[in-house]
Amino acid sequence: MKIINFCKALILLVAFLGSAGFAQSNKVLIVNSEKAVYRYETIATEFKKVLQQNAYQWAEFNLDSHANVEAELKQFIEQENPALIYCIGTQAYSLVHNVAPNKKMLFSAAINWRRLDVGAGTYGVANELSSAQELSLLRHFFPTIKTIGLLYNDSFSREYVETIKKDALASGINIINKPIDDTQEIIGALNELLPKIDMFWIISDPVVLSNKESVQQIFQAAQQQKKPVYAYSDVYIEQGAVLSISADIATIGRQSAGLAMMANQDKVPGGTVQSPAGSMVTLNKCALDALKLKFNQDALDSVNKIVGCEQ
Amino acid sequence: MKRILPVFFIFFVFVVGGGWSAHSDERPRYYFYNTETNINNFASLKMEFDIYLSNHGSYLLQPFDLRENFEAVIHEKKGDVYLLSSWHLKELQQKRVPLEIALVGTSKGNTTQRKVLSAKKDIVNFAMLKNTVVAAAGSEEYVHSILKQILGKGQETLLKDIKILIVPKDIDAVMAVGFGMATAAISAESGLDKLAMMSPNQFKELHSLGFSEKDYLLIAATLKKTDQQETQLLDVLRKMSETDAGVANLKMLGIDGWRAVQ
Amino acid sequence: MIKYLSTLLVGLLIVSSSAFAETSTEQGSLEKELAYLAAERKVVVTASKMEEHVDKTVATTTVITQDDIAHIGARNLLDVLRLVPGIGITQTQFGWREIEVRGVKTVLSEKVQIMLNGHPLDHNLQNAGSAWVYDDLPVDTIKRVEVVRGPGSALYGANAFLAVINIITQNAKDLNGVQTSAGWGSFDTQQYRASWGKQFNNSAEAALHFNFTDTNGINSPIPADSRSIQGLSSNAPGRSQLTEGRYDLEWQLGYKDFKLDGRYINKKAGTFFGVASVLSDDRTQQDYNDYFLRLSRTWKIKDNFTVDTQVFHDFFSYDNIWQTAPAQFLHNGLQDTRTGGEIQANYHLSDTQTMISGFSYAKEQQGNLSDQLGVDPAHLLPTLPSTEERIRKRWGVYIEDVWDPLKNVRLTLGARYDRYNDFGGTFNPRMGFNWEFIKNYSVKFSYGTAYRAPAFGELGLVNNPVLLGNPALKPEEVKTFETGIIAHPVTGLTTQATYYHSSINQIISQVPVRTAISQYENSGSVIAEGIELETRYDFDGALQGSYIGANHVLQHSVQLGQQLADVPRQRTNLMANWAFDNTWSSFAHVLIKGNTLRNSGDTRNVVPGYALFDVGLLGKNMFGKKVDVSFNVYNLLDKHYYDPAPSSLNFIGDYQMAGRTFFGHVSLKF
Repeated sequence: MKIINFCKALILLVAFLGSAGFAQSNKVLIVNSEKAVYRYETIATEFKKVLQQNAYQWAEFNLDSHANVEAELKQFIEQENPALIYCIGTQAYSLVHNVAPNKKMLFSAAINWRRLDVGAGTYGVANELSSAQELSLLRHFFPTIKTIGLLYNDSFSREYVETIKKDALASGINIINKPIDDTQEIIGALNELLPKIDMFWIISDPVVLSNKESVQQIFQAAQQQKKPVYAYSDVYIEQGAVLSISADIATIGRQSAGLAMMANQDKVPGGTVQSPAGSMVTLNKCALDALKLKFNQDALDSVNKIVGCEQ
Repeated sequence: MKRILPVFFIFFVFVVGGGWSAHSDERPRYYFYNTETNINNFASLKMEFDIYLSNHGSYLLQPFDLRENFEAVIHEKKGDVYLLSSWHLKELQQKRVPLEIALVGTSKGNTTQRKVLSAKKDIVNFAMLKNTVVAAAGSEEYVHSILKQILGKGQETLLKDIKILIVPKDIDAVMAVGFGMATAAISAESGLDKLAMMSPNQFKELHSLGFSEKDYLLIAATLKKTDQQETQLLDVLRKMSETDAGVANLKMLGIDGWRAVQ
Repeated sequence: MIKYLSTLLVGLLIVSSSAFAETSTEQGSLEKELAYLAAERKVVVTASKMEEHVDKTVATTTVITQDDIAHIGARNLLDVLRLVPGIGITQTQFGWREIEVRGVKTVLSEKVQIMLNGHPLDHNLQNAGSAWVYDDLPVDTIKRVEVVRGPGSALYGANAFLAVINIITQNAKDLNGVQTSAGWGSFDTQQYRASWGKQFNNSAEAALHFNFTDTNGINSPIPADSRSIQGLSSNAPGRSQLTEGRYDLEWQLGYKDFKLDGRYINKKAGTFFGVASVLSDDRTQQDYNDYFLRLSRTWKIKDNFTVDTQVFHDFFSYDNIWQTAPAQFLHNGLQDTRTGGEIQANYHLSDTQTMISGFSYAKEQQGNLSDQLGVDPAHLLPTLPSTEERIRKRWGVYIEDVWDPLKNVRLTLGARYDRYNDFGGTFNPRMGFNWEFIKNYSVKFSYGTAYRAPAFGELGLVNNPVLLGNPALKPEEVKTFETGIIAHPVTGLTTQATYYHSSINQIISQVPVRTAISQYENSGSVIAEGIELETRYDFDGALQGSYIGANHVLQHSVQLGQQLADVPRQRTNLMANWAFDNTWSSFAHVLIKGNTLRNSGDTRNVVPGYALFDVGLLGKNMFGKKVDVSFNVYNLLDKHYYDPAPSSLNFIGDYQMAGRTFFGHVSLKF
């Protein structure tokens, strides 16, 4: 080949690359899985409050308001060029993970984050409280409980249930878990499970908790067999749960914002996923009395809210 | 013109509605705002209190989530009782708001408390808190001020490099250290006591880096010239510790009784 | 008045506080929580462990995405493959192109397995290979091309010998509507494409693709042929007549766990030079029909245990008229079918271990032979057949285990046994490991064997005056060892270095048995070794969408102590893509190829190396994100360069390839 042509090619290539510069931004892109979902939106609001206080810029992208989501999100990311993408909900995370795998990412409100592919450039605030924290609180409230049962779906909650089992072992509680694939299996699984346990634990599994009927089935079965129900959210107190220890949604938003700022400045190791720092304890005294369940009176001052029978 | 009409209409509805609301319920109130806790569940607090209060007179609890709104009420109203933190009261007194302490909350017989800055044992001095997260319950302003007090003078630069994470309760703050969400926590001493009970292992991993000055627990304050209505309101408060229902409600405010101070 | 206003203000504050309290009450509603759970339920992250991340595979893999293809401005599959390290594309005398892999190249590219959505496309049983029909496959409907270099028989069976090229096309979800595109370029090239895809509410989905391509071909000068140099009547000097026209239809229909997919292709082509060392005029006509139909279903036995089943029917036929002298035409036609099924069990033993095993069966059949001879294509008379009707039955069992004993270590162990009714059995193992020894730095090592089954044409070539078939042929075998390192030293930068060593034995080659008569025999071996270096940096920040990349191979393939002919010792690709803004980007590519040597006894000079410079401009998502346009110039500097002609055509010099050419492309989405 003529060396002159090769040189021409090289010069053009070098000029082409030389014209490229580098730039950095401080902008955060918030990708919300579904704006109409209360949990997602509350987290987004709290997140934005903290960003505002710290003079951070942000842009928002709501997945439910776009027809060709993937292409539009990709274009939006290119357009906004954020330093970090905050994904609220699993859907947002999965999409961003595909569309912009090289971007720094932070997620929250994703059920059982352990099933996600969390790489070095990813940070997160879990949706569930640390099961060790929940179990130590549970043990504090109900020192006599020895065996707890739970239902879950393997695709959504396997890793979370495995962690619960490990942590339970450490706090001297035995967990009996039963996987289900469909809500139709709930009744059968409960009939098998309830006689063996002291308490039933409702975890945030989207297959087990598919609709109101499945929630009712759980409480009816537990009531028939006189087993107390402990739940991950206070919405189940009204249904008859004796105790709920829920992650405080607003704190998740604030905590995410703090983590986002630290991650942006590389002050926190990549791959860090924190448990939610805020909890909310609700005790259903009415259900407790009906079941004549022994309760540690000294623990009362750790309760945020006590619900009586009149409500 | 067509656009202006609905705007006027909405404005009118707000003004009339607001005016009606302000005048329609003239019942005496306890106004509540606490910089030291971060209660997200005002509905439950208000409902519980109102049920209790309705059995002892025609009174209401009005909790606030925004400090500005609470202070605006103090400036306007007369003859009501204001439940607030001692820190907040001092701030108001400095601004010459004529409020004074009527009752002080008690917890297990104590009227005062200290705030503790605790961290894992590998954090041996304040300097190691640079670029870390400190968890605490309360308003951002309050936490900032307490942290400043604990760190002492000359630590302004460090203070800027500490990120504060506001959590709902003291126990959340201290547990956040144990579970790695924060490097240190500010809590009342009672918060650490709770941790010792619930999770002894985590408690053992912590040590105290510093303390705030002692201060009163929740305060019931009135305007300087108390009238009869205020005396009645204070009386109802004082008697809350005599019934189980009253104590249960007080516990939601983080206290178990009231005591008069001289 | 002031008092009224301040009272009003306090009233409003109380109203707003009450409003706050009410929202707090709503916060606790079960409906809201269930709505959240329903939103989370939309995404099942199955993280199929068999879909390995490129970094974690033990095989050397290059993935080219739809986005990359758009930037390249590729006209067909060949334009994509030429950028892959270790792969070279050259012209054959018959028309189709050769795919050189790791320093080994044959006219039929039968040592490379091309697959469409996982289905092998080696449908030509007479002559093996897939390049007949698939070399110039249109790229508008492609989502991804995965090129796995190294032996793949342990998993895919026959002919995954030197590399596997898996082409993944857009499915219903990717399309979600109608997409059309058109391209025009030099040599009267035109391409049209229409695709439609939809996911229905009842868990049914459908995707249809239609492609049409037509070109007059590169029209290269051919100075002489075997007749012209003897002073006989001839078309030489003349020009190549490589007209090509094709249309194809692909379908992917799904309902619940069932899927019916396939692709039909009709390709008609002239020829570049022709057969019998004689330059053809425009009356040589190759006509191929190729399709496959596959019905598959995935059975979920348990969450960690699934079974994939499929039945398929492949069809290939040709109906070719070759000009063997100015007034002599040969017509060959035949039909090949392959019908079979496969069952594969996927067992997810634990988070760290997945095992797959399967069984496949296929019956291959060749028939409807047609051989004619005549003075012109309109007057042909039957002549003796050139090959035999034949039936082959084969089955295979395989097992593979992918195990991560540590978080940073992956071991892969697999083996496959295939049994053929004509030549017996063959066993091919594969093993390897990948170890991320420092974060972002992985080292890999693998060893595997593969085989290529003798084609029907090699087993049963008949009535050929100079070449005989051999029914006793055994399969070709290759043993490959490779090791490499893959690293991401900084965010956005990927670098990879691989060393390979392949030993190919029992090569099926034409061995002289009597004077002027050869026979296919398992004879000879080739040692191919080389180093492949690859790097790519994706810019972030204001330059997101821009990247630079380079790959370089040093290869050394030796037969009987001599470097293989017509294969370069080194080849380099430099690529850069610069995104000006969200719409416009420009692509530049330089291909640098080293000299290629001749066969021993061929007195021609070596084929000189060359550097080609291609540039392109791409505008995406214009006019309401509905329109993409691109314009590419290939060989911008109009470099005269040549692909090697085989020793049998030494009198013509080499094949002159295209100078500066243009290609414009418009794509519409609805």
